[in-house]
Amino acid sequence: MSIVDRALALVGADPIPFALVERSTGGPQYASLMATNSVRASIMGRRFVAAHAADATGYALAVDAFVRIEGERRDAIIVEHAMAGAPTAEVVACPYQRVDGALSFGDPLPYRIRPSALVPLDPNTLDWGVITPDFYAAGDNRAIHVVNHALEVDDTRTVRFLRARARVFDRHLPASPPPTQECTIDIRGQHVPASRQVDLAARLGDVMAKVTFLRDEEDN
Amino acid sequence: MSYDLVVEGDLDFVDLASAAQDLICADMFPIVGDGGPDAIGIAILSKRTTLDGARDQLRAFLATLEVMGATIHDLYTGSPIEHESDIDELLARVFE
Repeated sequence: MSIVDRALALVGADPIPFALVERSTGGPQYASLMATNSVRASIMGRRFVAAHAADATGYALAVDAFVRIEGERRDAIIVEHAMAGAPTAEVVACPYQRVDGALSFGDPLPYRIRPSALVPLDPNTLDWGVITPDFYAAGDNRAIHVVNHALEVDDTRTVRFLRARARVFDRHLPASPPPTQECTIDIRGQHVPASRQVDLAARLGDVMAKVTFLRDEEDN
Repeated sequence: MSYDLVVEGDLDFVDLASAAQDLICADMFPIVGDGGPDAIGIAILSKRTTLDGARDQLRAFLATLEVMGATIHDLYTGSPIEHESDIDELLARVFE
């Protein structure tokens, strides 16, 4: 019996999303996933699986959803499953019908492949597409970011945004000559005290070679 | 200059990276660590597509985010994006 079969055996007449983690020692771990939709249930389920990954031999996430099979909308239990050691999980759609109040399943249909929830995921390893510098000086391999953010109240998101963007650029810019990045922050029309500007530049100091503030003339 | 958003919440990075391939009007990248919640950064650029194209792409993408229950912050205004009219205002700035 496969882990998909074992997961389907746990699906009740009124399907509730759940995560099943099978372990090398002790019994399986099971969690019902109470969420407003199957996407959020799956996200919750993967967190549960990751939290129990240390001694897991395999896992299955089961959520109720609709699928289209040959143009026809069908009820299906979507099962994501993987065994320990595998880098990827297989996701299958198991169409079902209600027969005398119980669910009768058809054959699982391949749906997609995705990273296993048992393997820690570094989202930076995924393909996020291209990068577009605001300005780029090819001669010295220098990218310049220009931002105009609301900074009077909070700059935390700006710092996280720029630090993450710089890390992405580091991976994409040519290796030679060694890439550098700079940032111009437009604060015209805002009151951002000099001490906060110094602090902001310091928090970007390890990813930006230079941080410049574009100020109103009277503030210069 | 791009117009920048930060999306925070319980995110499925795998699905979002896949959706990024269809969001032609923007650069997208993950934001993890640095003492905050899981997030993605989105830099919207006017030179990649038309206003109508960007509107369609953003609405479709934001619908994906809504299903995840994510919160979208417009870094230019400092306010969350909650309504379709917020997208229209954002795009008006990008394509002005």
